[in-house]
Amino acid sequence: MNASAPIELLHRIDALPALPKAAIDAMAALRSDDSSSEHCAELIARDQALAARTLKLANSAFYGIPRRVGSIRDAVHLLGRRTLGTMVTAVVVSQQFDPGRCPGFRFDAFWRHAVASAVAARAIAHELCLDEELAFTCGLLHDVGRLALAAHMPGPLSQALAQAKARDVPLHEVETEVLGADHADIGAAIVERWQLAPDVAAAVRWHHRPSAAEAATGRLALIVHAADAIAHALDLAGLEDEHVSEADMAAWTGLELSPAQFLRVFEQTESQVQGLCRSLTS
Amino acid sequence: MTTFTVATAVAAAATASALPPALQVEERVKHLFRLSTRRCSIHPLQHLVLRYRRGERG
Repeated sequence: MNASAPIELLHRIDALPALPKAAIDAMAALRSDDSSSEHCAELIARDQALAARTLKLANSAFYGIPRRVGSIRDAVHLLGRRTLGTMVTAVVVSQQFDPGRCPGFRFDAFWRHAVASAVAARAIAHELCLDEELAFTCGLLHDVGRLALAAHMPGPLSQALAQAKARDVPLHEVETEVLGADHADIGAAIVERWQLAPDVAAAVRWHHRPSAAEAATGRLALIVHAADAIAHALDLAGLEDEHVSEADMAAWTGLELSPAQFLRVFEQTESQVQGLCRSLTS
Repeated sequence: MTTFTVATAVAAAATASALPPALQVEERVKHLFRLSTRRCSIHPLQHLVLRYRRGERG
C-alpha cells in the first residue's frame, strides 16, 4: 500500500477547479423554494453553453416531452425545478474531467456505466416511491472519483486497472492497495467540494458497502449499490471482461423489490441508456 | 465528441461462439457473476438477469 497516496490525492482534490459559478448558482436556486422559476431560468441562461446543453437534454427522448422545449423558461415549467436541477448537474459533471491518456481507462464505457447506473437508480426509486431525482444524481456520480483519478492520477489508476484485469478482481479493491483509497472515498470528497447535497456524498462514499452507511443515508447508498450492480449485470458498458461485484447482503435484503419490479427496472435501464448517453455527450 | 454504440459484449460473444444462443446467454451471465461464484456466493441478481435475458418482463 502506498501510504502517501491518500494525502497526495486529497491535495489534488483540493486543487480541482470548482464547478462553474453559474452552475452552482443555478443548482442552488433550483433546490431552493425561495427562488422563482424565472430567476432559475435567468441563472441558467447566463451560461450559454450550459443553457444549450440543458435544452438539448430536455428535448431528448428520455424526458418524453411531446413538444419541443424552446427555452430554459419552458424547461422549468414543463419539467419542474427538481428535474431541471438534475439535468444541470448531469450536464456540468459530464464536462468537468478530461480523462486524457490513462492507459486501460475507457471513457466511453465509463459514461455508459454512469448513465446506466443513474437510470437504474431512478427506476428503483420510482418503484420504491422515493426521490427519483436524487437517486439519478447519485447513480450518475457514484464513480466520479474514478474519472478524477483518470484525469489527475493516470499512472496509479492505470497500474490498478492492469492489476485488476490480470487478477480478475474488483478494481476498487486494487485501488485501495495501490492508492491507499478507493474511488468511492475520492468521489465523496469531490462531491463535498462541489457542495452538492450531503446525501449525495454519503451515497457515493458507501455505494460498495451500504451496510456501513448511517441509517439516514443507507437506503440511498443501497439504491446506488443495486443500480451499479444492475448496470454491470445488464452488460451495458460493452466490456468483454465486465463483472458484477459481490452484493453487500447485509444491506441488500432491505431493498424490498419484487422480482417483477427488478425486471421492470432492467427493461427501463436497457431501453433508456443509449439515448441519454448521446444527449449528454454529443 | 464521443459516439456510443449498443453492441454489447453479449452480442459480441453470441456472434463469436458456436454454442446455441440460449447457452451463450447463460454462459455470459455466469461470466458476469463470476466474482460471487468464485467466493462461493450467489449474487441476488443472477437468476433475475437470466430470466430477463430469456425474455421475461415485469
